[in-house]
Amino acid sequence: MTATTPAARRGPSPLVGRLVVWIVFGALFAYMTVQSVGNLLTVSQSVQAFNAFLQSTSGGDSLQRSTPWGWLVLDIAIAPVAFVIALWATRRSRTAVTVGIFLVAFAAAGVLWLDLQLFVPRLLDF
Amino acid sequence: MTTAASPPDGSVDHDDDEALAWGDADDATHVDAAHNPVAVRQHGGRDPETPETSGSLVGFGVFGGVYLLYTVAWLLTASTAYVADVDTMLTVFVDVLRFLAIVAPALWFTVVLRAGRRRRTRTRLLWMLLGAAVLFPWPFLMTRSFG
Repeated sequence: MTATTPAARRGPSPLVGRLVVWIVFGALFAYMTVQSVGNLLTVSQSVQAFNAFLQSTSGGDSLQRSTPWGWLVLDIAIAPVAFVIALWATRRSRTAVTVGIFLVAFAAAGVLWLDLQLFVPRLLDF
Repeated sequence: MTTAASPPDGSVDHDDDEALAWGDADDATHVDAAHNPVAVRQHGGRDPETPETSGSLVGFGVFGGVYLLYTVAWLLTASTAYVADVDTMLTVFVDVLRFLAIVAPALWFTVVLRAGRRRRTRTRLLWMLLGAAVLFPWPFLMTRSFG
């Protein structure tokens, strides 16, 4: 009968599992950020085009809109902030806990992202 | 007049080494410092084996009820159109987020209770409060008129 070493009992390093979780959710958070950047570009271009159209008409200046930069930047910041908080919270966690916390962080970031997808167009209303 | 202190009794065996020992670890009455709730509390955490106080149970119950209402609100706004004229990948992504928004309150509640079971009750209640702020179902209010 062979003696069981502590390393053999412990199995593979938990860092590998956590790295996989970090990479997978990192990709999802990155995709969310890219969409937010695209949203910022689309909305700002739409507002510029709308304002340019109003300037070409007589008496339409009062209807001009301003780009909601604050909300659009917040939209971009949501995913990176959620990722960093989840990364900090799971720096010494087991893999199962890491998955749970990242899932919650992604869901929470998604909730805020959906809120802004609905809220920002209502600010413009054109 | 004599003093209260009596001279050492030579018939009694004073074993100083035994007096300083805590006893056998296999003894049923032995208390291990690593699992002592008092020691754990002094380090800012709590012993997960310790039962919840009635105050914390009420607090978690209130947040559980709030989160349940959030779940219903997100479920009722599941058909809200968040994006239009987008590619298939973004449509799938939004659908996934739509589903996650419905289960997010339950997920948040479970993770705070399970992953934070070594944390103090106040810390867990603060995380619950943060969840109540973050997961608030704004689309439910925005897409409905209550007048």
